[in-house]
Amino acid sequence: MATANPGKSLKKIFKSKAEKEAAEANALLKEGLKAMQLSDTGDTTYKSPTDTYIMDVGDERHTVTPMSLKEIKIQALVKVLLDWVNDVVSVRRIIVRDIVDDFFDGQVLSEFIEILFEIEQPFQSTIAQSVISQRSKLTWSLDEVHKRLNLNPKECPWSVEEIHKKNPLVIIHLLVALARFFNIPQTLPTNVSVQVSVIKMSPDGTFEYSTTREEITGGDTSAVSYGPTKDVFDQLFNERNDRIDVVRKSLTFFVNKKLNIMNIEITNVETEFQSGIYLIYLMCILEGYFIPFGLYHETPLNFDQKLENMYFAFKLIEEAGISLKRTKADEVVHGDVKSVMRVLYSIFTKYGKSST
Amino acid sequence: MSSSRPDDIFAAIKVDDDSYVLEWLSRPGTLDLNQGDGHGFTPLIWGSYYGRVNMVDKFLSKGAIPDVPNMGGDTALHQAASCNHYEIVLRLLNNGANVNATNEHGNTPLHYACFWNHIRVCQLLVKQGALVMKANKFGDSPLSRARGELAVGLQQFAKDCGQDLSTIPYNAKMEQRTKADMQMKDKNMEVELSSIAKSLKLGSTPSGETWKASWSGHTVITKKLKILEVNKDKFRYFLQEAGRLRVFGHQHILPVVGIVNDIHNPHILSPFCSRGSLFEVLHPKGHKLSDLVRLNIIKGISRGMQYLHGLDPIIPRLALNSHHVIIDDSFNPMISLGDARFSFQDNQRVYYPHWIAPEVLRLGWDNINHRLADMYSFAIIMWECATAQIPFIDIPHQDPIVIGRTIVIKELRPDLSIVTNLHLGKLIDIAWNFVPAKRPPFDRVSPIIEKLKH
Repeated sequence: MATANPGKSLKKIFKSKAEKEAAEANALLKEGLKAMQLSDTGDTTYKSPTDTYIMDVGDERHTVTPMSLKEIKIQALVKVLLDWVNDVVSVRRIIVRDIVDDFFDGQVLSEFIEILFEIEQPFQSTIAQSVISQRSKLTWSLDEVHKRLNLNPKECPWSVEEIHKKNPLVIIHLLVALARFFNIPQTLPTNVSVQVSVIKMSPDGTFEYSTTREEITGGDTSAVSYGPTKDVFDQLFNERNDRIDVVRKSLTFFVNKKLNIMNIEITNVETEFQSGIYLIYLMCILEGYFIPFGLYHETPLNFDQKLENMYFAFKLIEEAGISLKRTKADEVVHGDVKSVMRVLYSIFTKYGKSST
Repeated sequence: MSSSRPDDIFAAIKVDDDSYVLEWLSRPGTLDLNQGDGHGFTPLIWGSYYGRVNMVDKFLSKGAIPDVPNMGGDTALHQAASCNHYEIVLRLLNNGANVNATNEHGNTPLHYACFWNHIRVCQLLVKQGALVMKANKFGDSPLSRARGELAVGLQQFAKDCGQDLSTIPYNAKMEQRTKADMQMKDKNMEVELSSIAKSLKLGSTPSGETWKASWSGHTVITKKLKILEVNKDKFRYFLQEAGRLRVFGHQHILPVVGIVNDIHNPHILSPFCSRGSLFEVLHPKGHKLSDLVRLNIIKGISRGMQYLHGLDPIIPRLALNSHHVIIDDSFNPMISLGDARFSFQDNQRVYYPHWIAPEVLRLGWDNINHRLADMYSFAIIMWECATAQIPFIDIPHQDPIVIGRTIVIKELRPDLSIVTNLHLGKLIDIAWNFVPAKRPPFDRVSPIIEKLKH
């Protein structure tokens, strides 16, 4: 098992002058930090797990192969993630050059988490000098991620241990999960996978080595690959195509039951919700208010007016306490069936039970 | 050759120093016209006492409330009436002064005018609805104080004006409320949440959650304001906007007495009235109110609105409806300023379109004439009081969106043919005109309403 230093290979991504300057500033900062890390062992390169892990029979360890990280697809993914991370942390005048070297010690990661979730970390000193304080920063950061993304830590591919050991694969997994949760504007490359070595301890106490490909991003970028954030609609559209019609019918039934008092009958949910009007009406009925005509376009003439209606409808829906994080207004205006149904389903989950 | 300058506004009124008063009124900063001297005499009361017509005009135009009493419960009208200042009496009444305001003895302005034999003032007061048989604490009515010619003439005049000549007993409860309001007026407007003891949840309205509570010895209603989206910029104006709602001393206006100025937990306090809203009183399951009481409610609201519309700028987003008018123990209506919406609250949603002017339903609250929109709302309330029916109850679905759309699209208004009082019916018809500019202002409607008989 060769020692991997994926950080170096990733650095090749940065070539521009501005980035060079930023990199220089960053290097200086790091120098200073390193000088203070007296208690650190100094050796922070990633080691093959057999060197450091105590393994039990049946245990499996996945390690990314160094060559795999040089693949174009994974580099593109890392670039997107890095751009996003830098967008986020720029408010604190921090520049992240390398997701592995800059994130492993919890320093920048905890600040990144702070900004993302608009929270404050409980630590008094901002600089984590000892391994212990680095790990507590990592623990705090991951706890927040699990809490806010509603994930079971045991099902997550990352851990404090692995991040601190500079395992690039788990850091990429973590960032992909966060990027999807926040529905970042950048598009994540689809179908990215890496070659990993699997080491398994067999019952007789010997190690078995094999290689396999581990998926990082799936086929659909709007689908989140971890835990409960993958909603019923991803499942429905990915696996249960046969049931879409059933769901469509029951949602149509639900909205018609409400809109009927205005003598409106929906027959085609995809096209009839495009203008945003019926969503506004639906919220008015469900929440019990009237909206003056002048605040939206009663008969929208073009795409822009439909989009304005949709933004307004989204505002009403979100102010009723319904999260629309995973849906984009323009997709509904475009008549994207999955988006329309997801919006209606979100509304249905709040009001449907009491009325049907 | 000017003598020494007066020390304060009160002294300036006494020595008739017009220039001092003008300068004082134009002084920037925290000018409170309704603040009294050591004995609670406001500039308006002193001006009325000394007969300073010009000063009274200026005070009224700058927002002096006619009915703010001094410590003895005397209003400016009491002073003007006892001192025979006819012009001032006229101006106070035109600005919505309560003609039957009572002081600590239960005396009305008419008691004093009769006692001092000011014949013209007596006539004017009775013409404007002063009750000749309203007893004071000791059971004496104004008429019993009048002597000779005046006594005979006034009795006939009151009869001609449609007054019932049986004695109206003294109402102690009403006096207590005024007194409590005045005590709250002198307290600091910003209060701590911890000083309010909530006792009973009264309900949840679209603009917030209301509780019966006790605060510093008073029974109050406290409303936790609902904010959909925290807007720090707009919230800065909370104190300022609420300050304009502290209208004390008007018989038909329920003021905001205090606020909890906390962006995460904003509250407003108003005096508590056990009967609840006009809507609840008008549309109970059991018996209905008498025609007379309902007509008096219309008159009271009209007086309150006339005062509010005299303010410049007026209080925006009042959204006048029968849920926002509170009825006290003596069936006296009060416009609840605690139900006006603040700029930091959501102003797009309309929860009671029944009473909202069609132009607001079409365009929203911006860029419309709020005074004319209030007049429309008042017309619906007049219809509601006249018929004791809920407006638009016959629309099959009572959802606000259905009602709002029906009103606008069909230009629908309640059925006027069931209003039996023809004069009132005519007035309602003018007041709810779909063309806002065709609706009359309150200072033209009020005198007509005062003359209405059941």
